[in-house]
Amino acid sequence: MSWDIVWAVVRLVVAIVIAYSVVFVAALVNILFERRMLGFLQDRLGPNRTGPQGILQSVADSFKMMGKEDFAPTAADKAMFTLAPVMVMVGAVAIQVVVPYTKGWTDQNLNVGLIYIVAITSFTVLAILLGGWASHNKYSLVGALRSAAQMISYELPMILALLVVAMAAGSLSLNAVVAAQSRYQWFAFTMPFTFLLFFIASIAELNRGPFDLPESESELVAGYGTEYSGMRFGMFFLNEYAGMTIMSMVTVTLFLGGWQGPFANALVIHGVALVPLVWFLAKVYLLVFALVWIRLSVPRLQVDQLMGFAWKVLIPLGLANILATAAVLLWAPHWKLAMAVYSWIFLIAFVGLFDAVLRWRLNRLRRRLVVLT
Amino acid sequence: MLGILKAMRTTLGHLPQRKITVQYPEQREQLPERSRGLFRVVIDPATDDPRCRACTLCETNCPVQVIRVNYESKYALPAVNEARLGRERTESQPTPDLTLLAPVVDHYRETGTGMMAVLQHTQEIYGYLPRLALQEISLETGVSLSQVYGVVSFYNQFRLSPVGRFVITVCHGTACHVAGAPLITEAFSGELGIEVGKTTSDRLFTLQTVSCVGACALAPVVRVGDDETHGRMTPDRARALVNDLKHRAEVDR
Repeated sequence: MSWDIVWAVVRLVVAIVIAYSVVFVAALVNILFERRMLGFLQDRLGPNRTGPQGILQSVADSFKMMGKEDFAPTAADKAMFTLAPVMVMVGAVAIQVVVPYTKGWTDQNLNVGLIYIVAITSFTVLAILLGGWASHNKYSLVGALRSAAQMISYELPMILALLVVAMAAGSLSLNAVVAAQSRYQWFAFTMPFTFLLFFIASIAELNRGPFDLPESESELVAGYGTEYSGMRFGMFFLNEYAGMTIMSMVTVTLFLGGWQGPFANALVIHGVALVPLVWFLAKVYLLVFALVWIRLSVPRLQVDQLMGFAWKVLIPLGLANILATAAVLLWAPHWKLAMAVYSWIFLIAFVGLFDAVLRWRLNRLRRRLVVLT
Repeated sequence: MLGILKAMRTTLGHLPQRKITVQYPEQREQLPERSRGLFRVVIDPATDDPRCRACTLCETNCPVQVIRVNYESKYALPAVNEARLGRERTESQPTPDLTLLAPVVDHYRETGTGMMAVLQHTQEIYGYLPRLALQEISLETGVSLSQVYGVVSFYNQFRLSPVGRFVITVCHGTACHVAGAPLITEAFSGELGIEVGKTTSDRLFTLQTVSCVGACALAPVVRVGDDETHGRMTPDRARALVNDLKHRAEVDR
């Protein structure tokens, strides 16, 4: 019995526990954060009775969920039914491996970090499909299919935006992406259009905000979570909120300069700088607030509008963005400046013309198909 | 897209605004001074008496039925209606009090319904419905006084003020009218010296008219109390009846 193996196993277990704990804690914090923020934005206080300022509210909710009766439908596929909620967190947990939290702290400095992220975000889709199928319920299946369709449709604009970041940074490694944003040349400022594309796509990827049709159906009628109760449903639920934090971490890394900020070298312990960690978390929670804010302000999209937006608006724009970025990178003399100019122009044009073009297309459709519209 | 940004700006504008949550029970809403949601007895500062008159309308109308009005009455029960109950029965009850109401209310309790029956029995006992009797009925049956009063005031047969010993009822239905009921009424009115609906000052006679008693073959009909019915009346016979009743009253005294 070699102590190395034992030591390796212990380290593995500890690492898994830490990774899951971070995700759980992030999810619980997000739930409370969202409920309080929704309250403040709606002229009311959120939950503030459980614990000081309500910080124990999520804990209380978890206890309640764990105390619920745990059952499975008779006709459900037992193994899959149990596996689906377990699997759903894998995506959120596994992304933490490559995210650079602070200077000198990335679990694995993969040099294909961006591809890794793209691959891992598909896990949630798998878990949802599995959950919907294993429930042996046609409504669950349809809800799961809708959710999965939405998520895979919006992965494409995400990936297209990621490609632009990779082009601008010159590498697929996340550390290189952060390093390329030094001296406050954050990609959110130099490539705002790409940032907008990625942000919108990430909201849809999380089934959040105006794109939450699958989960609103769960609340109203059915959805992939129908047959799940207690902690099984809690897993799906927590995953959504954990995904908020994780996706915000990825967005911050790619577009908001990761851990960059003033006083980067102030406190360094064992090679890990602590001040940039604070900046990182501050930026992540700024984005989480933006997610909550958008969820509150924008009405829900219908499923056909959802899919139409992905395939007919975001993907063509993403492709055009790649083309234009490639052209700028190849031929423009000062490519950073040129990219910034082009991106800002594109952003203003998009934001300004979106309403008008949409109305024009809608009128054209109405003239053509009077009955259907 | 611009609309979305505008919506976001609107939402964000709510963040610094004052939150409208009232954190019960540490904070409470301040109700206006004249608010009716507050339960309190208002004392009139001029007389130091409560302004509440125990009308129990609040008890009747409370949607959650949480009000019970407890009151002491300044009214006294009158003597029982001797004309109805007979000398023997009244003498067997030494003090005219609420014990007479007990069997009436018990009947209500047993059957659970029949406020009308209770009120009818009560009116039989006292000749009318005294306020104190209504209060007692209300307290015993749990129906609020204003609801009891609502039933009483709806029906014509319930009298809230005392009537004379002899209630002379002249029928003014179609047959009786044609047969000359107005003349009969005039005769009574003149003989007794009172208007229709009033009572003589010696509390012996009350004159009232009704629509129809249903004895049209005997038109015109006059009833005295609930027991006597006189048919084929004429004004002369009416005056004779009055004298007869006066004589009867003197004899009974």
